Amino acid sequence: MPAIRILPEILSNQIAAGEVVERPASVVKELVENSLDAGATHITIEVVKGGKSLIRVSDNGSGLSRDDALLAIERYATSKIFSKEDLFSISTMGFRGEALPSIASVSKFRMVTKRGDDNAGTLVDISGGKLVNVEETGAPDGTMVEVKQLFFNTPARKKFLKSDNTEISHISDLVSGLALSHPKIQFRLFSNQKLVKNFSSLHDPFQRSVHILGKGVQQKLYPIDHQNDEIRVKGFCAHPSFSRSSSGRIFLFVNHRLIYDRGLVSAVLRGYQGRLMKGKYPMVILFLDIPFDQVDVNVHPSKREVKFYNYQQVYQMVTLGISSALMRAQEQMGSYSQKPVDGVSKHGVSQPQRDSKPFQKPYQEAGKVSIRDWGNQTLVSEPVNTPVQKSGFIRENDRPGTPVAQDRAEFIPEKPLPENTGKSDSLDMTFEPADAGISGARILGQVMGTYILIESVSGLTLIDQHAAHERIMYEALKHRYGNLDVISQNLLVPETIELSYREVDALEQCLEELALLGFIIEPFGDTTFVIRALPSMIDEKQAGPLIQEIIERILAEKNRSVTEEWLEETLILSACHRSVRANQSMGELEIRQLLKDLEGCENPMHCPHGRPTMIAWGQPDLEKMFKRQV
Amino acid sequence: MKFSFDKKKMTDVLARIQGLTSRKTNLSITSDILVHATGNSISITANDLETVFHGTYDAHVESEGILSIHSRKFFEIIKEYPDEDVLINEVENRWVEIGKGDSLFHIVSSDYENFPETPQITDVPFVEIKAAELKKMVDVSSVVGFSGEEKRIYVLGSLLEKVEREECLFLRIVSTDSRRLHCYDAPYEGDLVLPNESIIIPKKGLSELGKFISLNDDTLKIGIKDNHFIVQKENESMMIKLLEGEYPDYKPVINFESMVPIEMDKTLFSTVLKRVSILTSEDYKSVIFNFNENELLVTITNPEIGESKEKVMIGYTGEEVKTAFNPKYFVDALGVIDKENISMYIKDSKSPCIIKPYDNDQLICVIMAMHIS
Repeated sequence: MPAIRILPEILSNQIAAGEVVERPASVVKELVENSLDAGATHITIEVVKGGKSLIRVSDNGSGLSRDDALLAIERYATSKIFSKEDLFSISTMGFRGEALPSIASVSKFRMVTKRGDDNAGTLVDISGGKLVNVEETGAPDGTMVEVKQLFFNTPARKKFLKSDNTEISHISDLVSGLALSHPKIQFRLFSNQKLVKNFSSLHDPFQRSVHILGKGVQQKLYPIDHQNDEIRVKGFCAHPSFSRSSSGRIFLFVNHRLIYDRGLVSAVLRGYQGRLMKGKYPMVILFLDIPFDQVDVNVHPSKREVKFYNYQQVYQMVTLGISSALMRAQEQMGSYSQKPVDGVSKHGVSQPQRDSKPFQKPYQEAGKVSIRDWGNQTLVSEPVNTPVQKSGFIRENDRPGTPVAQDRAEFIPEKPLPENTGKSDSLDMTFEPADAGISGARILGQVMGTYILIESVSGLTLIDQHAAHERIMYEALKHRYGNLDVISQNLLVPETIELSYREVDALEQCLEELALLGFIIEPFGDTTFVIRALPSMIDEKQAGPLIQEIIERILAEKNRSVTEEWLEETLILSACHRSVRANQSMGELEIRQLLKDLEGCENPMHCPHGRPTMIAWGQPDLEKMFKRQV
Repeated sequence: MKFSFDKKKMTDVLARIQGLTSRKTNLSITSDILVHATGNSISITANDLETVFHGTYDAHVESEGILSIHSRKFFEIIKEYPDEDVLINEVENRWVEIGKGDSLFHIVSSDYENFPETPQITDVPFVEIKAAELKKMVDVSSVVGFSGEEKRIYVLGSLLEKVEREECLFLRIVSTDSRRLHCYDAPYEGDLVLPNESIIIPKKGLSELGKFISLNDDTLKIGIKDNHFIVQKENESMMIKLLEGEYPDYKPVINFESMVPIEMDKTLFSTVLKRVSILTSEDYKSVIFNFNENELLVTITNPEIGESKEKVMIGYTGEEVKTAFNPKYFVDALGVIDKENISMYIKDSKSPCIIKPYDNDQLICVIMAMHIS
């Protein structure tokens, strides 16, 4: 066996680099975080060829003295923490003292730094971890770090780099994330000498969020603000219609540090529950302020992961914060149900804003406008070619001699309804008059046997009768379930299930909860459990696989509201079967009742599967479509 | 091949096997029947890969042959055919001509080579059982059904066993869906040889068997061999492939020895239960049974519909027991009891309820309690 030796420093730095420096974006992250910790207000990031040939980060931060500059490139040298106590309450971005030496060990590294009070700056050159040159130089205040030929001496790692475009998109996402958490600071990102991102320091958090999520969300971005004694959840969540098939547009910040945590993502999803389709992810920017000693960021060198000491409380706060933000948004029924404009660019990367004062455009007096136009509006929206009864309700059999089917066909437009492609960026929801609701709306009729057309204060609204009824039935069932005794059917042949130790742990935690649902499960020695009774509403099913599935979910999601989810799913299924279908004709009385019941729902805007129940077009939208207003 | 047969007799036969051949399947030939003409008879075979029906009938055969033809279409044509005598003639290329003269059909038939093979089972150790008894076994067990997605073997099938009771041998059938259990003992004659493994007959096959048994038959031969349950009549037979699996030990639940019987009038009890069932709904189906001295109070409170109360005088002297049941299971059980007087057994609020005819133990029905919290 070869003798055991202490690794040479360069090698150990390279090993550390393997964890810290995974790709150009990680270099950018470390350098920008250093700039932020140095108190910079302007940070410029320049990359060439996706950061493979050059990454340069310059700031106007505090800068370093010559001695500090040399110390900074030593491993475990940091200005950020001093004692063990500091380690467990970290308020700066970095603290490990690993970043600079790690980066310097796998690249051609140059640092130029100058403190405001010094006469001259310091230039340090390092190549592959070896100090090549240190000299005095003239320099602006602040620090500039240049990283050239990343991984030039570690070819294995270099092979893992992806195309320039992929790398730049990682960098761009990262800069967006950092910019979100530091709205007061100007960030500029240049790629191959071109300015690709410019986050002005004049932004407020909302504008910056819109800038990053895409302009289309502007009127559909709702503020989150929820707190208790320790934790504060802030940020913005977009309307559920802006859904994605990955969690890539969920930005999570814990104490201003961009992180990723599966538990938090699923907490966000729970906040959206009942509003999003399965498998879809919303756009959310979430800032979590939590006491420094309640969270451990020292889980991984890249600090992308965190650990919460009291994760359940954190997750619950996030869920509550989001659901209450959406609830508030839904109170504005009209604006909430208006079809979102298609202005979101594919990557959520928006172009520089054309107009810096979008909030002051025509509708600053929306309240007055709607009053002035009220009578007018009714006139305009009177259907012209359709016979209207006194009540304003169109019945299909009104035209004598016309067979119903043919009659109905006339309602079906040859082309789909015109899309609301106009960017109504002038519309700000906060200025909308409060809704009078849909129950008092004028019913125009049922179209295509499936949609109910109404005119309400907020404009023209289409309601999907099945989705709407499903929501009503679901809430009724849920309410009813809450009032009923829990009934379980004893089993003649109790089913036994064999579990792993991990699963036993999970099951034992929720036995009581399951009993409340009607699952009577008892331990049967060692890792075996016996299911003695089932909830009577599902007593025809086989219990074993069901319980197994519930346990798996508990393990996967680490949260115990799984039993609640199960109940919801069961109720949703039952609600779906009991609801009126599409292509079922409805009379005026039925429609009126449907609208009334829907309005009484807790979450009237979505069916329990998360589909929207209604889509509305406000007067401005229609005016745009008809080019009355350009 | 060319043959003719009597319309009425054949319609009867074909009607009884429609259930076998109308199952949803991806193997379309199981929707066919195989018709084999030889000598002066034809044989008809239906096979859904689990249950096989085979019967031989008199016919006027002009030329012999085999054909595989769609069961439902063949049945409908024969049923509606205007004459009493139906002529079948295979023309060519598997085209089958049905009828002659004014009413004529040409039907495409399948290649009989593809028809699933009938298992060849010989030397079956048959015993004899009364047709009425076998029919009762089928009826008692098929009340306890299963739902579409069911996978538990002991719910999909019924157990067949040989039991000795009061020095007599019986053939027992046990059927459960885990919420209730029915158990029926039928007398038989002969030396019954059963394999060691549990004999579990699929309930699907049993319901086909129900149509196979006609009460005109006096006795039938039954036997188990080569993993099949075989029932034989003079000119017809049915083979049901057994399910493989373990059957749970049901004996403790049908044991009522430590319990006190309550004598009841079946019709009275049944009408009471039918009345309280009116107030059950899809997701609310429990009825509360309150046993007090000499009195049974049956109540239901469905918060959306209303409530009802029924009082029945009974000879009960034990402690008060309050328990809940799904009344449908009682109605089902009482439906298969032929006797007017029944015995009901109850122990405590968690234990199942057992009902059986008052004067014998041939039929025992167990109903599991519901638990209200």
